[in-house]
Amino acid sequence: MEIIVCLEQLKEYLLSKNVSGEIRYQAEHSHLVRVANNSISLNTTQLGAKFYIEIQVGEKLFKTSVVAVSSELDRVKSIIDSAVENIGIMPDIEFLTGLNGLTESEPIVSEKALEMESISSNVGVDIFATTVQKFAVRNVSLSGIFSCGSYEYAIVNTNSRRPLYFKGADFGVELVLALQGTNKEVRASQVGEYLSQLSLEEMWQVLEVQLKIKETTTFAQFTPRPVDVVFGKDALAAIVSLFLRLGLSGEMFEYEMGMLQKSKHKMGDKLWGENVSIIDDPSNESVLFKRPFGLNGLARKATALVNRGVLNGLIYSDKLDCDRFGKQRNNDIEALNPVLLPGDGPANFEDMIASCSSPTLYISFLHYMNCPNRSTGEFTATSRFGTFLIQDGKVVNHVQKVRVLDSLYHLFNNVEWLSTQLVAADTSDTYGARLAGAITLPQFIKVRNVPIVEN
Amino acid sequence: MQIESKCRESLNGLLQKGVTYADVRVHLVDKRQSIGTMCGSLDSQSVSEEQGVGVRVLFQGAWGFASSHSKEDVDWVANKALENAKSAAKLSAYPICLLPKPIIVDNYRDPSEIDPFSVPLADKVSFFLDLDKQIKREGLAYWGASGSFYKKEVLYMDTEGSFIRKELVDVDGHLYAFANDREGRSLRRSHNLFYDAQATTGWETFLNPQLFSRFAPIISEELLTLASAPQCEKMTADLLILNNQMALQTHETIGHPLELDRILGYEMSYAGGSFIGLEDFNSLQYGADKLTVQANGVIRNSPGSFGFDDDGVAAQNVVLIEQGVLRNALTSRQMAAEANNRLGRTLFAKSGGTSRASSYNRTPLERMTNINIMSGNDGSLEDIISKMEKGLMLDNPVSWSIGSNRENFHFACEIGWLIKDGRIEKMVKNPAYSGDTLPFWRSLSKVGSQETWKMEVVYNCGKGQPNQIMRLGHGVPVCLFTDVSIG
Repeated sequence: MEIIVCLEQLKEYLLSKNVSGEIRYQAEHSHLVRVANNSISLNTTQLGAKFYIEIQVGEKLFKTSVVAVSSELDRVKSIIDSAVENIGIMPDIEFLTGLNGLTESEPIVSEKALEMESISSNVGVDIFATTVQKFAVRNVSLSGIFSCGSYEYAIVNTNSRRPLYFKGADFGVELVLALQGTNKEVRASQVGEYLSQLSLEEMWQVLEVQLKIKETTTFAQFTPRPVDVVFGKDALAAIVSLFLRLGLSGEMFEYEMGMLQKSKHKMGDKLWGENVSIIDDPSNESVLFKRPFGLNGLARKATALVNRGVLNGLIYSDKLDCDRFGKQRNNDIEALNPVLLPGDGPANFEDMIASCSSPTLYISFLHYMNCPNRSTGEFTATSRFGTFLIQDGKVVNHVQKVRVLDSLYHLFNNVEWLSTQLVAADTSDTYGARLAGAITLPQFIKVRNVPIVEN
Repeated sequence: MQIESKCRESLNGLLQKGVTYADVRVHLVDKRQSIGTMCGSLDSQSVSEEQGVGVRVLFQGAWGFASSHSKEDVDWVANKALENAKSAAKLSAYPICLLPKPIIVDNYRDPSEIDPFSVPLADKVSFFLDLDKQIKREGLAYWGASGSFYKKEVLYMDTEGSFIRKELVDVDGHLYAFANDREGRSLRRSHNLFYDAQATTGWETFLNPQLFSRFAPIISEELLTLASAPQCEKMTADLLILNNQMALQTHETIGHPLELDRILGYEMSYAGGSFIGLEDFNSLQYGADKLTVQANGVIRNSPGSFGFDDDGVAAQNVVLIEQGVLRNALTSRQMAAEANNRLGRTLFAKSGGTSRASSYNRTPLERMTNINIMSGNDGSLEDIISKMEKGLMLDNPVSWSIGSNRENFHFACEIGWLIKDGRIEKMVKNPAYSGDTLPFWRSLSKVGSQETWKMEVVYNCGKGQPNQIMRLGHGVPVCLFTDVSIG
């Protein structure tokens, strides 16, 4: 594999310069088709490749990156030369520790990577064209994306024996139908590693069910007040994702800038409800995008982060932050395979509706989540793509979007039930280089007394 | 072969293959350097260099786009973009057309005196470590100073004959401190570098103490007071918003809802839509009479000024809201044409020149330029405070969460000051406020005079799929709103 040879040569080059160093390579081959107003609004293909280089001499550190491919060895070497030249003028970082070796692994390559990167853009267009056709009589407008491709990362350092290499593949599909002339929208999404996992029929079914509710129930305003809420998988994924970063990041814990603080909390503290357990497990059969080592080259092993409401583990990924606090890295927050373990609650939409006798809001998706107060775990977001009021085992109204203003403490201490069935929710983003992400979680979760507020 | 010639050949090749239009953007230079300190140590330092090429093709009313990190790939990229456009043309309810534009052959260079990349690294590191010392106080948990420097050389060519070279320089800076309150909960106070709109962009921006360094001791002192301040209580009261928070308020509830692609539904599946409809222009009372807002892409010094957008249209100054009435939107050639077609009349006579891409590997979208609120005649900050009976003054965002059509918002801020009988009574921590966008802007009761106006910088505006982070500006005065839900 060309990049492995390239990294081996670059490692030798670092050693020949008498410096310690680490080099990470990330590349992607991405396709993205976007639809809006029943038209393809963007159909794009992207090739990207970048080297991230860190040089250490004693207590000095220099970081640099360059866009290049493995055949441009001289270009990368010239960037190393520049880093070596400049490191002398950097101030000492007194807590900086030396580089440890990396884990060892044979190269891991998804058998579907080539298929996903060489896919015809007609595939994405056809998904949308058939969806438009399917809902042609419903007076709706389709928006969404189809994203697919491959991503790879490779890493070596001057203390590792040989480079690590991972190449994965993924797809994500999002379909949004807006009822023409209204502000009403419904959404379905799927994520997976290869296209045969995609079921358009299932997505259409989700859309149909929600559309039918909007067509057959009356619209109502919801008076802000605490109410029981069933969150769907995408809303729950946003909450769990925030919980991982705000609550279970070791760096946030050490800096005391998140919802857990080292001066107040410790491993073994019972902080959440008995029915809340979260693991990170790259070997779990249910998870997508199993990555046995992270982008930082550390082995990733099954870890119980929250065990029946008890804080059991934190995720330490950043070397400099860990050096500052005398901690060892144990994971990579960018490469997690988190699972919120299931419970005994209903697993399909009909059973979930039937189970709610007292007034309960169903929220499928949370839009624009943010944290007004990190220390208290407070978060806020508005519901979107389907907010339904359920009572006496049926949907009585579809309601205007509502604002949730809750805390992660309150929420995870008031879980009434979690579905028995696990599903994957997409947490990939398209900010930087492609890196697939998904959280495995129950289809639904019911939470008591969630504060719904004005705006 | 020179890259210009290769690009011209590729564009000619695309024309021969029947495209309606194509453009190519080559990032010849795209450099970024960042330096950050924490508690007296260097905490982060990085340099990144990129190059690449992106080609956009319009074929039978549909866009195709492709990009590569190797500018030598321009032919492959052009052909892939055409292939993508052909595929996209199979599902096209609104065939894309573009409003006409003048052919432009020109250069643009950001006004800059000291290239930040020409300043020795050691000097820059020392500068930020010195600021770090100025922030340091007993009682702070963490503190630091950081800066980033950007330099881009971009070549733009299109099949209509435009040929534009741009040299863009930007900087941003940040000072921060954290301390724990009596309950051991973390609080933050920070300052973001703002620009002198009439000056130049470059390392010299950092050297003007009025924009940056003078705030180093201020944030520490304020934070230490804040750490023992009471919690902001729930109330409905007048709200005086200082510049940094005003920039975000403007950004989220005027800038984004007036992006024409959002108005037309092109961001529905991700960022959301807009509560504005095409029928609202020239009739909707968006805010109070005191509210006049411009999208000013020709302010001398701001990251929201760029010479020419990525449609090859000259940057311009467009009045969005005039004395409270909605007049215009952030527009591109494509969206302006589509809006006119949907309406069956000309609402947008030309592109407003706001179509920008964050890099060679992204397609241009409607992006904010400098969305500025014109200063008013209600005097200085002190003048406005002196006329407040009871209310809250606040600044610097901690959290922002906006409705999907930008119809409402919830903001939390770093710091608040209770005002009573025309005087600042006390500091309060964790202030937050929320509202519905139109009633909020209609409750604007005082707009600070020019002396309160500042050119704030936003360097992390995200939009689009694949996502694009854009840099832009908001020139804003301090503003007073009545009967706001606080707490």
